[in-house]
Amino acid sequence: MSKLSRFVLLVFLVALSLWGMWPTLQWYFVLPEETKELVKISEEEMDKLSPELRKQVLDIKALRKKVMNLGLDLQGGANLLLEVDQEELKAQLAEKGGDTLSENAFREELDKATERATEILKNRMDTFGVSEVSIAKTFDGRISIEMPGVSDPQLVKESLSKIGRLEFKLVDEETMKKLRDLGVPMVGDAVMSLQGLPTNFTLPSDSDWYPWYENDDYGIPHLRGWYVLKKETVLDGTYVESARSDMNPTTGQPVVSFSLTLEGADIFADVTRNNIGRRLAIVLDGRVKSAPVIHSEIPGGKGEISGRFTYNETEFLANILKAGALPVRLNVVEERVVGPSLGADAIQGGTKAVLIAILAVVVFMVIWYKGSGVIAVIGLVFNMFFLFAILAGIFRATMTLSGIAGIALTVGMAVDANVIIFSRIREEMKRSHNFRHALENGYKHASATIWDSNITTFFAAVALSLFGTGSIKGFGMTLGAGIIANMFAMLFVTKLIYDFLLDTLKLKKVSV
Amino acid sequence: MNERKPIPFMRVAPFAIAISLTIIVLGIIFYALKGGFEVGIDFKGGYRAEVAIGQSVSVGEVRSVFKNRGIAANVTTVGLVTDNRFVITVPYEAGSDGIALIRDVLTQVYGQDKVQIMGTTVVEAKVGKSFVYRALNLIWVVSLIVLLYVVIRFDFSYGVGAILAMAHDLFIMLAFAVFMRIPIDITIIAAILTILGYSINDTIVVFDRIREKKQLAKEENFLMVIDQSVTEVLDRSIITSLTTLFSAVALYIWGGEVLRNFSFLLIVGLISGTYSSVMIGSPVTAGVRMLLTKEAK
Repeated sequence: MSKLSRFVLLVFLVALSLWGMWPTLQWYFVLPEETKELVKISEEEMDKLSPELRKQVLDIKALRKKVMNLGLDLQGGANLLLEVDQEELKAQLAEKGGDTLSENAFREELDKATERATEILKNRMDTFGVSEVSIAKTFDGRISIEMPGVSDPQLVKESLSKIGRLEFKLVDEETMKKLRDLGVPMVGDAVMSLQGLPTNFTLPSDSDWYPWYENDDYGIPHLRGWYVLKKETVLDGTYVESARSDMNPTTGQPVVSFSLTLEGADIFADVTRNNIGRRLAIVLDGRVKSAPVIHSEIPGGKGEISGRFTYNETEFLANILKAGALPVRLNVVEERVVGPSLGADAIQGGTKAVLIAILAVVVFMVIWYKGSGVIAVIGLVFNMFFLFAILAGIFRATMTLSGIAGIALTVGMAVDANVIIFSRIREEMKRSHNFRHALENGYKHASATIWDSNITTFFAAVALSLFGTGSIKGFGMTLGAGIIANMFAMLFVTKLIYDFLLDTLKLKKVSV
Repeated sequence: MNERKPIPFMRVAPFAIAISLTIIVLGIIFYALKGGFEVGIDFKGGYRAEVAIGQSVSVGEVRSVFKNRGIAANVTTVGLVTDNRFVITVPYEAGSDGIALIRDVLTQVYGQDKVQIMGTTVVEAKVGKSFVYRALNLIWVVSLIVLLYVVIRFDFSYGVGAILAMAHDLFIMLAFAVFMRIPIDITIIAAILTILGYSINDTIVVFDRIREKKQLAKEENFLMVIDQSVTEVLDRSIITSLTTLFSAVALYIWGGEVLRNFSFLLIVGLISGTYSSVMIGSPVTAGVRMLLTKEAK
């Protein structure tokens, strides 16, 4: 490749990296605190805002997702690890099924219960009084809750002990029809927003607004719209005996089939007989999860919910329906709290260590290799730059203390490629005094070694990020990104600098 | 051509191997005597609180405060002695609140306004294990990948040399973990994995040179080829270990309490990793080659 095209490629990659890092840079260095606070506004609160303000909040929330986060060990916060109470689940299942379950069947039920508990928690995550809670099922079947900035998780723990409240409520079809006739914008048969409702509209006293939440691709619930439901609960979750995802034998479509307890079956038969054509909303902790239409009377307590569902959606809904039948009790098995000052100390110490490591390496390289040492240092700067770009722009990594340690080590190891090249150039210089010649030979011979040694480490890094979990995964990703950034900076960028010095500036040699 | 005079590394290799084996055997003896590794609360469960006390107290005083009340607490200092900051851990006990216990004891002695809890961790006894074991399993996966690559790219004898060099570094680090009573937790496993990556990197740089030199020499002179090659890459090996050591030492001094054990083991591993490429990986490769050629005859 000609020098010019290599230079253009470098400029292009730098621009691309800046673009990838821009949200992170903006968040930590440009935006004022008041603007960042907007992230904390919940979706239901957002519905009450003016359109301009709402757009601003949406923009800031979208930006926030692209920002490299600080781990709880750096910004302070609480991390809870929860586990489904296995003994209780076993007892409940024994009560329902009668005979004992096989080990495998129990594992499956446990997994479902964990998933259900995760759903229930996600459904009420914005009631924890903390912004940016993250709730996830871990690889070993536990639930991890991360709450940045929380130093006493007691409030959250109390909220955890409450089991999910599942209710069935009838949709107030008359009011919904009135709203539609008044020209209120609708989304999927629900009202889009509570803003700008006609002034002549009044809510009947026996009905109320209920928010309708739907999960996005990442399993995070989002507000889709609002239903007017009758306040009266026609049936609650305790009457549900079982629910599973199924397939309708005639249409072949995925459906949820469920069965109710004897008492529940009677109530349900009454409700369905009197309300054919209306919708019955499935409400979890006050939020509508689905509102299927009642097509016919359902006697005998065995029914089916059909709609344009995908298989995953029916799985999800069936699992929610079981919330009433199999209430899950969660135990806190691990709790980590990092106070804000401790986090600040960690950032300060880590940054100091990285800076001192950089300084030591820079001083050493410049003294030892003189002019070439300066080139290696420039390579190091590019290396760090690209590493951050990959972490922030591609991996959306979370920066933790061990991540900082990884970066400090990368600084030390980064110059290795250049050290290999430089000692090769020195050797070549003993054979021929033509610097240009020695340089080309040095890069050529050293490249094979550098590739070999880095590829094995890169494989190890890939293995860690594929098979590792938690901090090990993050570590593997940092290591892998570090190798890519390093190879590029130390082979490509430094060579370009040499070529520029020798060809364009017509230098005879660069001290090494 | 003015080639450097080779340093006779291979002549001292047997002694070096003996020293390494001694350290490892000592490690095993210590391991047996102490009944295994020190394990952190990540692994065995427990309560851990980092506290700052608003007056000058020594770590011994804090220890005796707990001892006098019959509480089996482990107390260590954090940061500078003048900071009066301590990490206190108490064993896990179902149904009790160890954090509250630590807080209560300290406020009784030093007064409420003097005791500040900076961070806490509670781990139930059975949780930690699966996580740590899973991470340990990764070490085998990584070793296998490395072996495969080296066997394909070089040949079998180099593969054995590389793997034994890695195993050496692993055992040396574990031996030091036992000597220094460093609790095995997730950061220590990260340190081990880092060193394995570093060690293989260093070994391959040496092997690459040996392979290059070997093309010009006879099989009988393999040991001489090693000496020659190691001498040639020696300055690079030393410089890279040095710059990486700068980082590890910086982390040890300024990185804070969480990274102290991690960076200590890194320092051990970096030295071991550089040394093992020359003193373990190379002679083992030579030995395997000798065995193979003998068999071929």
